[in-house]
Amino acid sequence: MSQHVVQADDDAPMGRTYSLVIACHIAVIAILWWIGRTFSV
Amino acid sequence: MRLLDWLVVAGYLLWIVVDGLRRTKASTGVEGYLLANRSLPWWAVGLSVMATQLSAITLVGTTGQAYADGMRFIQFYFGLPFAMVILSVTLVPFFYRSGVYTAYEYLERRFDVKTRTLASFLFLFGRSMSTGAIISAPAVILSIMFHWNLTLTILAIGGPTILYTMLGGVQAVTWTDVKQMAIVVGGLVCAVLFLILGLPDEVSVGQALHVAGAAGRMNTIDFHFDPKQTYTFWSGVIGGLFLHLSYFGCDQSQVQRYLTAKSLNQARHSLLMSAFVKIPLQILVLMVGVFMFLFYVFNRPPMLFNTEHTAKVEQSARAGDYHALESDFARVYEQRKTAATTMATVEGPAHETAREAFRAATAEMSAIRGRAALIVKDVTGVANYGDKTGDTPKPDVNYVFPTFVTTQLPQGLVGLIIAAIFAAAMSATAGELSATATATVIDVYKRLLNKSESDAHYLLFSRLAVAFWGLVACVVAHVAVQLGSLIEVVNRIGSIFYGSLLGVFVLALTVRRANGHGAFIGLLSGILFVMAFAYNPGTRSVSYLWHNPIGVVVVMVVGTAVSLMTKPQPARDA
Repeated sequence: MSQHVVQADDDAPMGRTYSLVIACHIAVIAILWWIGRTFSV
Repeated sequence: MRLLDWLVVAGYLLWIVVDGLRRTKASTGVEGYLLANRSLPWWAVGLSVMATQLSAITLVGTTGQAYADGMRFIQFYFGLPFAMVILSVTLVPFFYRSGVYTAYEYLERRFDVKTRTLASFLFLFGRSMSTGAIISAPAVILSIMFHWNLTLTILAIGGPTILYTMLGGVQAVTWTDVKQMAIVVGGLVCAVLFLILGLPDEVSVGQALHVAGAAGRMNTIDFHFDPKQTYTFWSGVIGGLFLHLSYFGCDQSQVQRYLTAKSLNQARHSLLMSAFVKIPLQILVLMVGVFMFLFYVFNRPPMLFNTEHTAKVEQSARAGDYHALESDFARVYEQRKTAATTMATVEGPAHETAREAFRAATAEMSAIRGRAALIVKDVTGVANYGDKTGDTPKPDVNYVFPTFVTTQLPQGLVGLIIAAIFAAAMSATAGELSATATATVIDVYKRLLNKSESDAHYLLFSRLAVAFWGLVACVVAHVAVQLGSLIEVVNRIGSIFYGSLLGVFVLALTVRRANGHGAFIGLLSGILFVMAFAYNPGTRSVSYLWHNPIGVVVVMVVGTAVSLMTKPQPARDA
């Protein structure tokens, strides 16, 4: 069985990326809600 | 299909096979063959993750779903970005750092061999069946649309896929996935552009979308909490979260994708790529369906899209009734077209009047389609013609996009879309074959049957395992056509495993006291409970998305209780 050799960027902090994912997802949901309201009326 | 279309499809197949076979040289050892020596860049792995998830039935079925029921399907993916973040923080580092080949290997390190073997067998059973369905669904549709031989169509999808996966391993799977995703997205973009350019000159895109909205096709979000509804905000966020946690965290076909990344953070980025791109991609797929609906508002649609069954009705005693309905359908269609054009081009009270007329005509067309479907049901005995997706008979939904492609698109573009359907089917199949072969070799053959052979021996066995599961998939695809609803039952059972599998991993990570007996009995209890829940007359109407959180809870409760009642497990390096 191979043992993974830890590379330099293995533990680079990812907190900002995760925050960006969540923020973008919330924005996409908001845009979809707006599209639904605008075109369904 | 004309000559240019054939050339496009043949060119695609040749390109993919040759490109896949070029990777053979890089797959010299078992780790190179099954994990690409953990050398792949995040963007290639990320595209492979999405290609594995996007099968031909997504392409054909989801566009048809949007045609029939609008955009609400998008809510199914609302839990996905949250799942990707949670997995990047929790399971991905565990899998990646422990150097495992399969997700289930981790379960032996944490619990015991019986838990690992059970999880791996559940995966192998579920995936061998679903890979057959992945091939059979587009093969059936293409064979009906083009009058192709079904067996040859299955072999045209399965044969090249088995060949390049068997020889090139996971490297071939990943790099062909990248190209197949490009073909799928290219085909979808071309289809949307063609549909937009095909709108009447006097109708803008915005006005057309208002027309689609009047027929309920632009309903994107439903905030009502109803466990019986699959496509609501809450079932998408909560049920979808658990489903995607299970799929991306416990299903070897996805775990293997990100274990090929060149570092842990590259593995995380490959998953987060889906968090950013998956929903926009699904919006593109759904917009094809919405614009097809608009196309058929301004151009007369067939009363039913599946011509195989209508041909049988034409030869039956009910042909007269069916023709009468066709006349009614044509008359109401003209009324709807006039109302839609008025609605799109006029403001004020006349717009409102036209809107009501459009909605009434749409409802009447749906009712006529329903009556036509019942005639087909009477003549052919196909039971689900009585069911509907949105306002369209259920068996018709998968034929909307292929009918549009073959009857409306120009030469060359038809070939591109057919190549895209092949690409979607092949990329999903290749990922499954590679994953089932890995579980067979690592979790079954090497662990239980033959522990001490050379690397070359396991490499040869891995290639044979790909060929074996490929042949099984082709046979299941062929049998699936005859079995019909039985294969749906098998797939439903597969979805029953998912939540419970996730439950075992959650138990492993969160309950320190949990042991092998607890995990094994918890997993079995979760599956049995969810199965009883799914088939109990009182609860069977609850959407399957809720089966996953229920499975997790049952495994956690039973697993913890059994662990507390049994001997603690000796410390292991999990």
